[in-house]
Amino acid sequence: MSIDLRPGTAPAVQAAQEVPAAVPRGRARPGRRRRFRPGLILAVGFLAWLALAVAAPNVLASTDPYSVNPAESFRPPSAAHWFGTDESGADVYSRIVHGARTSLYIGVGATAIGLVGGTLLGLFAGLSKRFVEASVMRFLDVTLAVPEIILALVVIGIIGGGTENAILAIGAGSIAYYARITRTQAHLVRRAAYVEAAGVLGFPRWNVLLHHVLPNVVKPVLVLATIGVGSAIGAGASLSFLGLGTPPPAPEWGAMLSVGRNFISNAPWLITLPAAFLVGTVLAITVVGRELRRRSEGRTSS
Amino acid sequence: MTGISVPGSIGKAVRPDAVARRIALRLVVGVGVLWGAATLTFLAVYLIPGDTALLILGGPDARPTPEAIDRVRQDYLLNEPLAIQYLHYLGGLLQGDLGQSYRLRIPVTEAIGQQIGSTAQLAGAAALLALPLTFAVALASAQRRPWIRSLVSGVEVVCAATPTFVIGFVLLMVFSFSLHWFPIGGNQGPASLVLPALTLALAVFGPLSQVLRNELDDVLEQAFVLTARARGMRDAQVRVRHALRHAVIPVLTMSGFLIAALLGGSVIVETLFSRQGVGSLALASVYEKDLPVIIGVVLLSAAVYVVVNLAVDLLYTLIDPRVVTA
Repeated sequence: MSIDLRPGTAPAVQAAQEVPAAVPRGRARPGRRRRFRPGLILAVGFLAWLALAVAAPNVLASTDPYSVNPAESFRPPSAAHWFGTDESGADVYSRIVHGARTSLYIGVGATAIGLVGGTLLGLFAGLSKRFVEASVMRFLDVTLAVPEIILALVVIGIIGGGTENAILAIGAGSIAYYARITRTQAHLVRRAAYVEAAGVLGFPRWNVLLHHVLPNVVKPVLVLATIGVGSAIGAGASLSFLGLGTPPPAPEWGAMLSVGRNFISNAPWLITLPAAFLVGTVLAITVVGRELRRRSEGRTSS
Repeated sequence: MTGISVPGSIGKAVRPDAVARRIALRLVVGVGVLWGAATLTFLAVYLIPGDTALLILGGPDARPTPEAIDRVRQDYLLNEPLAIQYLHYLGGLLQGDLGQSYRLRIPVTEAIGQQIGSTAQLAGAAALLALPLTFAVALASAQRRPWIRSLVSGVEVVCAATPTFVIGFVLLMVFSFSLHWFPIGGNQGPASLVLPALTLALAVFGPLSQVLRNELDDVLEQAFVLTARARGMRDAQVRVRHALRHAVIPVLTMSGFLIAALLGGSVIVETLFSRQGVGSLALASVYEKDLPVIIGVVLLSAAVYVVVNLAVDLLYTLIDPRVVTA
């Protein structure tokens, strides 16, 4: 059989590397254990701001994001409108603040669908007989063979656009990814000494599954899912940009960018500012997610 | 192969029949993936709510005569049972017939065939930019001083976290609207290809470079690197002649990702830069619910994925013969 080296199998590769190598690994990598990390602090700070924008957008921006005032359209950033106004005179800062909720809704919703579907499918595959497992994995290969955005286009082509349908489309496209990781993890855990020990001690199979296998499979997948939220937010904004996600009057970052594209030369702040917040959000979630992953790996390997 | 000598594989030549069996197996799996993709999309389309005949005749707003609906139902076998429709569909696929586009009223193969050149150009140019960039950056930055590593990994993370269309916006604002170096879009000549290709290249650069640099970091700590250095080899030589060959395998494994990212990214990039291509065709088909074309694009991307993975598999056996004997 072939060696499976695709990206989804990273945990197995990492696990293999934890086996003491014949060759000493040399000194620890420089820059790995720095105490002071400005990037991380910035990311956590930004996420705190974002959490406030989601929970209480009116605290951060008192102007109505939907207020239309044609006399005030295309005002560049000023004291009255920090981020300027858009083509219908609505305050861009307020629209960005209120848009945080939609973006996070898409990111978390899509990740939840992918995570739940993928974990169940992966666990089922990883704990089944070889034939069943092979069938499930071949089925997943089919969805992995098609780019996520094209999968999302298929789903939207069938069920139509909109925020909820975009969530479903992105979530469905990520199921295969989470299923692969979960399966690999289930394989590792199933053969772990503590699971074998629990079996030898005579615990019932469901008990071992529920108390030993499940938590140890799900934890690393959850950590990876935090990074997944970031990329799902990016995917959601991309679909809105294509006109398939949240429709334009709503304050959603991708939709704002889609409209702002028409005014790119005379009102560039309609592009730069929503784009900065979109990238900042994905970046902050990625940085925090990687830190979580680093910490959890440190714990399992020690 | 020279250069790689691993204790386990000494004196164990790669048998041609093992290679052949491996390729045959991969081919079977590849055909299976295509069949699966065809079946899944068929089922998904069959489950679609609403009357397919109405969709073909122009969507929910159209008011076709009952005779027209009947005729379409007969032409498209919509009155037949599911199994018959499915077999007819598979039979068509085997003959290279993907059906008719509802919107364009031409065969799907023709619709895709008209656009595939433009997308292939875009994806090819993007790969030609992304791969040298990745190798240069990773080779230059692996196992260097902390500040260089932080800088490079920061750039990689930013590239990976920025949605493709935002990368495109930034390039457009700088190089088209401020500097006026390149046109803002279209398919006219090589100049119009630069920004779309660069956008796509930067989108795939981040993940590729992360993997290659991590791998190089690990390889450069191996004993054979020390040996090479002890023999008096210069640093650049050690990196290119020894480390790179070992580090390139995980990057090859990412070819599937690369192809998917280039194809998927073409939807975004072609829309942003108003380019023709398979991506903008797919998007227009989604707007109009032109399902045969969407299915065609899905099957095309699955086929490309299968072929690329097969090619990568062959490359593995050339780079690392252990893969076959394992």
